This record gives sequence, C-alpha cells and structure tokens, in this order.
Amino acid sequence: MNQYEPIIRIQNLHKSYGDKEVLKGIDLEIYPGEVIGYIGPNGAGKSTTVKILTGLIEDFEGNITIDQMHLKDQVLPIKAIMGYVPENAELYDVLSPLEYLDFVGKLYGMDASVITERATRLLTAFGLGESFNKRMDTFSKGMKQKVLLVSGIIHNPKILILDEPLSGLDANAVIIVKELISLLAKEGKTIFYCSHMMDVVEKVSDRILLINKGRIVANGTFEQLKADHGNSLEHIFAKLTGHAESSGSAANIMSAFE
Amino acid sequence: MNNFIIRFILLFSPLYRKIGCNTAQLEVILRTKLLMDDRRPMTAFGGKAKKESNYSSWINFLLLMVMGCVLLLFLFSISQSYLSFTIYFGMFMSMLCLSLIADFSVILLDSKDNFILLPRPVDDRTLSMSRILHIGISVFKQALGLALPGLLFTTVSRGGLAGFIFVAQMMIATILSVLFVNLFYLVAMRLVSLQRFKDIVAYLQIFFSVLIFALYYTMPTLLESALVQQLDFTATPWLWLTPSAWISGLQEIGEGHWSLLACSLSLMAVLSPLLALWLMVGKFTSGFNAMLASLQTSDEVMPKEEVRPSRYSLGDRMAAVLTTSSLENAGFGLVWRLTARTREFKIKVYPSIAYVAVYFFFMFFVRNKGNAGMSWAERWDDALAQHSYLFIFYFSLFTLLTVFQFITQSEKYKAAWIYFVAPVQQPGLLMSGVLKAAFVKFYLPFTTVFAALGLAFIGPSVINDVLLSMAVGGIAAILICLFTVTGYPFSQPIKKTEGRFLANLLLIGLISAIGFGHYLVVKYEWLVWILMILAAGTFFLLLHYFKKESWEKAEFRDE
Repeated sequence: MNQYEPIIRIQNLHKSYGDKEVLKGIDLEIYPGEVIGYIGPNGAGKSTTVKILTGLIEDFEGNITIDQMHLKDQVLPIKAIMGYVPENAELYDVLSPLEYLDFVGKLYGMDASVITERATRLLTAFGLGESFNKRMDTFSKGMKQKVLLVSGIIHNPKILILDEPLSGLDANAVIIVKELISLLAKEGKTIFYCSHMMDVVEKVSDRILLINKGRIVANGTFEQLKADHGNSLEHIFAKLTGHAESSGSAANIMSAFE
Repeated sequence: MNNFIIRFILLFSPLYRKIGCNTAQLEVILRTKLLMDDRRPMTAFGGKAKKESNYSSWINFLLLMVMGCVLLLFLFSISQSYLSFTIYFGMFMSMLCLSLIADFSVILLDSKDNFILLPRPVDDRTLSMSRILHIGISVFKQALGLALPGLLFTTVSRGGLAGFIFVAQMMIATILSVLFVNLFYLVAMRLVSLQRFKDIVAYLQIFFSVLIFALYYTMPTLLESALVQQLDFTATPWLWLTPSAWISGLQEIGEGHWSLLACSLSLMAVLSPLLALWLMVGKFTSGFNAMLASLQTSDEVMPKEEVRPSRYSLGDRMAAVLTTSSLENAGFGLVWRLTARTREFKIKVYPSIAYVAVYFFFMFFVRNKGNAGMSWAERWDDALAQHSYLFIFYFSLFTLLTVFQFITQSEKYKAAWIYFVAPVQQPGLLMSGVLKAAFVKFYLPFTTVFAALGLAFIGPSVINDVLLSMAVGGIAAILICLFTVTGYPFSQPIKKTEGRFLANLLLIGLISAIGFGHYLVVKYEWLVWILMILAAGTFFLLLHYFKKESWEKAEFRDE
C-alpha cells in the first residue's frame, strides 16, 4: 500500500445515543505505521470512537474507510485485520490462557496448530510461561491484561487498537508494552492508543489527537502541540478541555475545610 | 421491618457499651447493611428482570413461609408426636442450615468490608458485634419465616403451652443450626481456597434443590410406608443422638410425660445451645475474623492449583470428530469448557439433570400408587411391559431446555465483546458448535444410559426406539436453540425472569406430543424404523439450515 494513503480515514463521524450527541463530526486520517495517541477527558467520546472502529457499534453517521474498505459494507474483512485490547480486562476467566487464545484464534479462523505455537511463544514472552494451563480466575488484573494483549495480536493484525492497555500492569510489563508498540510500528502496523496516562502517550505516540465533547480539538505531534499550547501534555490537555485553572479546583477542595 | 428490628436491637445498647462497642457506629453499620440486603438481588428465585428490588427480604420471608408449610407435612402425617417433631425439626434445621450457608456466603465473604470498614476508625469489637448482629438478624428472619406455619399449627392443634414450647424449640434449633453452619465454614475455609469454597456452596445449593425435588416425589409414599409409621421412637437409640430428637423431647415434657428419656433429651436440648453459644462467642470468633480478613487481599494472586493436565481432553477429541470448521470448533470448545466451570450455570442446570434421574426412579418404583401391594420388581416389569419407559427418553430432552435457557447468561457477559470484534463470517457455524456441545454433553449421556438399560432388559427391539428418540431429540435441540436462545453463549447478564415462556411451553407441548406419538406406534417395529429415517433426515436438513442462520438477534451489550 502507498505510504501516503491513509489506512484509516474518518469523515464527518456523528453518533448519538437518544438525543445526546456524543460524536459531533470527527474527521481523521491515520497513516500506516503511525502510533496515534487518542486522549480526552471522561465522556468525551473516546470509547465510542473505538467501539465504532472495532465494529462493536454499527449504527453511526459518516464515512469510515479502513485499508480502502468501507466499514459499513465490509465490516468482516476489516475486523480480520484489526486487533483490539479493551480496557477492564474482560475475558472468560474460567478458561486457561491457552484455551482462551484457542477460542479467540478460531474466531479469527486460524489453524489450531498456528494458534498453539503463537500463543505459547507470546505468553512466554510476556512472562506467563508457567501459567499456560491455569485458570485465569486466579490471575491478577495485570496477568489478565497480558493475556488480552496477546489475544489482540495473535492473528497478526495490521491495525491494533489499544484501550488503556497498561491498566493493572506493573512497571516491567509497562516497559515491555511500550517497546512492543514501537516495534510493531516499525513493522508497519498502525496503532491507535487510547489512554489517560499522559506521560506514556507523550512518549509512545507519533501524533496526538485530543478529543473533547465529541470534537477533535488538537491534532499534531507532541512538539507541534507544545509549540502551540504549552510545555507539557498535561498542561495542553487541561487548557484545551477547559480546565486550565485546575489548580483553582484543588484550592476549592482545600477551602472546604476552612 | 428493619426499623423495628434496629430499635429492638438498640434496646440493649448499654450492654454493647459495656463490652466496648461504639453504639452509634453499630447502628449506622447495621442500618446500611440491612438496607443493602433489601436491595440485594435475590439468589433464591426470580424477581423482576431489570427493576432493582427493594423488598428482597420480605419476598424471601414469604418464600420461607411456603417452605415452612411444606414441613407441616411431617407434623400431621406421622402419628407419634415424638417422631413427628424429631423429623420436623430435623428437616427444619437442615433447611435452615442450607439456606444460611448460601446466604452467609454473600454476607460473610463480602470483601468490601475490608476496604470500606477496616480502614475507618471502627474498633474490632464494634465490627465483630455488627457482624454477629447482622447475621443474627438474617438468621432470625429466616428461622421465623420457616417456623411460623409450624408455630400456628402447633398452637391451634395442641394449645398455648405447646405453642410456647414450640417457640423455645425453634430458638434452640436455630442456635444449633448456626453452630453447624459456623463449624461448616470454619472447616471448609481452613481446608479449601476461596474459589473452591464458593464451588462447594454452589454444589450444596444444587444438592438442596435436587433434594427438595426428590422429597416432593417420594415423601408421600415414604411417609405412608410401614417403615416410617411403625418406627418406635422410644426403642430406637440412634435417633436419640440427633439434636432434633433432643428438641422434640421438650414437647413431651409439655404434655406431662416425665419419662427418663424425655427428661434427659430435654436436658440436652437446654444445655446444647448454651454450649453452642459459648463455643461460637468464645472459641470461634477470633479465628473466624482473622480468616475473613485474610480473604481476597489483592496480593494473593499467584495461582496455586487447578492446573489442567492434558490438552487433549474428552471435549477436544469430541470437538475434533464432530465439528467441521474452526469456527464450529470454537463454539463447541467454549461451551464444553464453560458449562463445566461456570458456577451460576451449574447451579441452574445441574439440578435439572438430577431431576431426570429422580424422575426415572419415580417412574419405575414409586408410581402406580393404586397397586400399593406391588413389589419393586413387579413395578419394574410393569413399566417395561407398558412401554412407559419411552417417556424417559423424551423427558431427558427437558434438560436441554434448561441448558439453552441459561447458556447465554454469565456474570462475565462483558467478555463477549470478542464475538463482535472478531470477523465471524457465519455465526450459524459458531452456534452449531454450541448446539452440538450441548447435545453431546447434556442429552447423549442420558440416552446412552437408557439405551444400555433398554438393551439389557428388553433386548435389541429397543434399538429403533432409541434411534428415533435421538433423531427427535436432535430436531428438538435445533428448535429449542433457534427459538429460545437469544445470543451467543455466555454473552448476556444474568436474568432472574424466565424469558421466552411461551416458546418454552410450546416446545414442551411439542416434545410431549411427539413422545406420545412414539408411544402409540411403538408396537409396530417397521413403522418406528421408517419414522426414524424420516426424523434423521429432517434433523440433518434442519442442521444444514441452522448453520446458515445469521443470528442477528445476538447483540452486543454495552452497559
């Protein structure tokens, strides 16, 4: 594919729940191999965007093209090239990691032997080598999150959508995931990274998109954003989402005790 | 009711203060906990679907009263009062124990206490007192509900003194039940992990519902039998060892029978609860609290047990033989494993499996009450001669109804996002894997056992009947799955109401009609063979179309 042809193109994306409009016209172009940091306050429309991209929400207005296919018409081939890691570590935890990955891999139409081989190698790489056959209901949140990460990449997707992928992970695992993200990007994979953790977004992303109240309010590299709005991502975030005087709210909190 | 209970409990405030409790905190904790109890979704039986419940404890109370009415059976069907009270209180205590074990697992194992109360400046005494009182209230509510019908019956039929003694009996039975539950918890929690413990509680609940079902079918016959009616209490020493016999001794004293046996049993009845209280308050609480505090701390994460040995389990091999695509295989494997490991599924479905066994027993040995003189062997022969054994083949299909009713539900329904993110080309294939797994796991075992019994006792002429009922079973399974299953397996939150009531009713009617039809033609062997071939053909045709079903009704739930 042409390097300059966007792999994800979103045009005028609207989504409402009842009469509440959550996305108010999103326009985006994402290129192959890019790592996009997608940030915004709670309720800004982040997870709605992600759910639309992953095919979880099917009724929306606007145009989305992924790998030159229209999301509305060719949702299955698009799902086949995407990997998704949801937040909150939701999985069938009475299964063992191998059983879960076997199930997921088969949903993607993979061969049982390929699944087993990849799952074994990926789990070992994530340090879960001794827990292949143990039920995940005894796992910590971080361990489950690792299994989810593996389940998101086991079918070798072109696009990887990560929703708070670091939640529950310890410092070592965070380092692995950060490295993994840049290695995957080097291989030409596109990564859509949603998070609240500004410091990580700042470091891993090629480009940062800031969404607020259903609109993209900033779009650029960290350097560009810094030049335009301020010196740290937290600062930029606060300024663009209307909480510039956040120190003021902390002061208000303190004043309650007076 | 709660307000009244709390006021009553706070009457003893000076006492609590004396032990070192902070009564203001105590009141607040109890009020909050009772409020939460009322809003807790009921575990025992179905309430309204979505609406949160505000009266759980009242409805539970009524339900227990209904069970208490069932217990009355023992009071008026057995002529000797000694024996009738012994059995009554025996049943009363076992029901109370089982109900408490299930209930306590929610109250006691609620680890939120560890996060909400422990970090606050609440001292240990107040905390354990609040726990004891909370449990006490819940016990009191349950015991009262269960005992109320018995109390009314005894007062009316035996007079005020008997009623008064009954209250004392009820209190003793309750205290002893609590002791047993306490012991059970102490032992169980020392021996097994929390996960296993919850499993044990689940199995007890399964056992409980099967027991009730079995009692319902066999009790009337059993009670009328000579065995029970002629049992002489005063000449059966092993009965004297049961706590319920001690309790029943009190009624004897009330009636003025001051025999040595009645006196010594009554003495036991008075002493045992004192001993129980001393044990529980003095000996058990400290160990108990320590154990509760250590439960579910988030550091305990390394899995210690439950290593699955081989990858090529029975389920895997079955899946390899019976499924043709990896998607079908995925559905098969998931259902095969999750149905064996999901607690809430097991609680709901396993009893219905046991019902088939109970019903089997009932059909051959207990029915035919008109011919009370028949021996069991004669009854067996009779069932064979009349071909009524055929119904058991169809009866086992009802298990599939239950399976499909609950197969979509799970506490972990949010994990179902994966179905909707994955490129599932042909959902029908996935679901046919689900169908096959359910059929093989929850229907074929019955058929195999019954077919083996049939071959042994009737001979090869039963083969075509087995095959016909299996083909019909397959058709029924497809129809049940199509009409009652509304989503992918384990993808919906747990519902309390029985959905699709009408569809279920129609399917039950259909299965019964087909079973009856089979019963009518069973004498014509050739006709059974022809019908079998037709049914098998229909089955494979239906399966072919089932695989093409688009399952649009399976929706992603984003809550």
